[in-house]
Amino acid sequence: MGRVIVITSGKGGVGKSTCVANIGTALALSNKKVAVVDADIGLRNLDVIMGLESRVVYTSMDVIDGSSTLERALVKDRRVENLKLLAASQRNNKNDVEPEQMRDMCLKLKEENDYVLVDSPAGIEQGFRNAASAAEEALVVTTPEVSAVRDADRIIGLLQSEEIHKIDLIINRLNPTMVAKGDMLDSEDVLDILSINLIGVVPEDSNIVGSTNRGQPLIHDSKTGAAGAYRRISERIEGKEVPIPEFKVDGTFARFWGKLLGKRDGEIS
Amino acid sequence: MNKNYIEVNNESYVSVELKGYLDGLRLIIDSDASIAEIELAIKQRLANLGDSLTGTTVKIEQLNRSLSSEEVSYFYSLMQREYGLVPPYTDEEIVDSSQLTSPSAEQPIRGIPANPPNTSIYHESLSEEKEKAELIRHTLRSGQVERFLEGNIVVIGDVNPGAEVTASGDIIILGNLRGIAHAGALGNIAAAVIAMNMEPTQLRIGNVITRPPPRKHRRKPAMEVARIKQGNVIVEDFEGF
Repeated sequence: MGRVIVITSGKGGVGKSTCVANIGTALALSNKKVAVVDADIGLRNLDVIMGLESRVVYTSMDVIDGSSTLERALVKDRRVENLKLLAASQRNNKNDVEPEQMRDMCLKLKEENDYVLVDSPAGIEQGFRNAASAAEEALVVTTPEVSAVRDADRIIGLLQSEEIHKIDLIINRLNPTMVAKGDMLDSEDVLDILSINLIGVVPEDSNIVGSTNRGQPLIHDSKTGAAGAYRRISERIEGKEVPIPEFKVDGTFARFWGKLLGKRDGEIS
Repeated sequence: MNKNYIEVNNESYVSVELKGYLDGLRLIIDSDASIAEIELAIKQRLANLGDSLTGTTVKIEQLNRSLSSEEVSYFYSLMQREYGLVPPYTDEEIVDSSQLTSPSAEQPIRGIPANPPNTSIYHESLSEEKEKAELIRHTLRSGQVERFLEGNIVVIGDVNPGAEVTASGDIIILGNLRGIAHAGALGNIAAAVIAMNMEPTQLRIGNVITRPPPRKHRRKPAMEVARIKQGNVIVEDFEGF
């Protein structure tokens, strides 16, 4: 029996799907059986980010209305063993699925896999409720912005009222240079409001956009920056004690040398 | 607003209208029906108002029927209890302003006492009657709302931005106040908000709404109290009531 984890954020565009693609791949790379489920029905994009779009034949909607079996609808990722995707239908919308149907599918996937990662749509409506219905734990993704933190706070309250009590926080796209300048909230500011367990901080990394567009999760190609952070998060999900490195720019001197040596913004110093 | 006459028994009729004026709302009752029927009509009229009018003053006006003063005060207390609408000030209470200086003292429900409250009786009744408080043992997150219109609220946890606490009495927050707190929501301007760390989005006491100036520097959190002094909401270090 595996674990069903919903990845959610409230606000859109904070990097939920990218987190699911990379963390799912990282878990599969460490020989775990992983199913990732796109619960963003009507606006699917997890298959695009994972580069599996062209191989999607059946979606979760086909499984629900009985035109496909669950096994047949799962798309295997050829780059890594044990990683499967259940795509969302593009033609339907979120109200076409009931929480019970979503829960049934996830419970079946849970029997065959070590991890079922459910990619929740943005918002707090039915789509979110569907995604959360099967989950026993949640990863809340936020960026260090006031509006994203506010929505994350709302989502945490809703998850708690759905009786999900293991909730971990991912702070995505932290830009150490901006934090040092005082233009961005740092992890401490975010935790001060949200007061839940922090499971990882992902630095801003310009390689993410390229990898998303290519459909190749960054974790395949890189060991540092955001990819390193995703790998450490997957290790922490597995219960390993991995310290969270501090993404800090050590004063003006380091920034000066960083510029001189052509380091990317956001690279760990 | 349309006049909605409700026919009762083919003979009597009830019309209850709600109109807004600068100094608050007026509930205009036009009826020759019985008290029970008027009560039903008032409830129907106010049922859909929600929480938005909590703390608003409402004055009852009558066309062609004279309700007795007991009946009027019965309706005032009904509207206050069920909908959080506050009866208008009466002359005797304005004279009786000495009580407002005691921050913990819960005011008697306005408009209802037939004889003006005598200070000694008032304090006696306070010591005998214990105040009610609702206890919340968790952090209130964005979008979560707690309302308690029968006394005070104590929150053991934070009130985050986007969360709201409303009480008819005092609000005590054993944590950070970053959302909205509304103390004295039924018009008690002697109510206070106390927090371990006072950084609210908005503070409301009675019918006074304030937005605290942003703090320029981070400071060590200290317990503070906000209350009305000379018409303004003042935040200062809390040194006990």
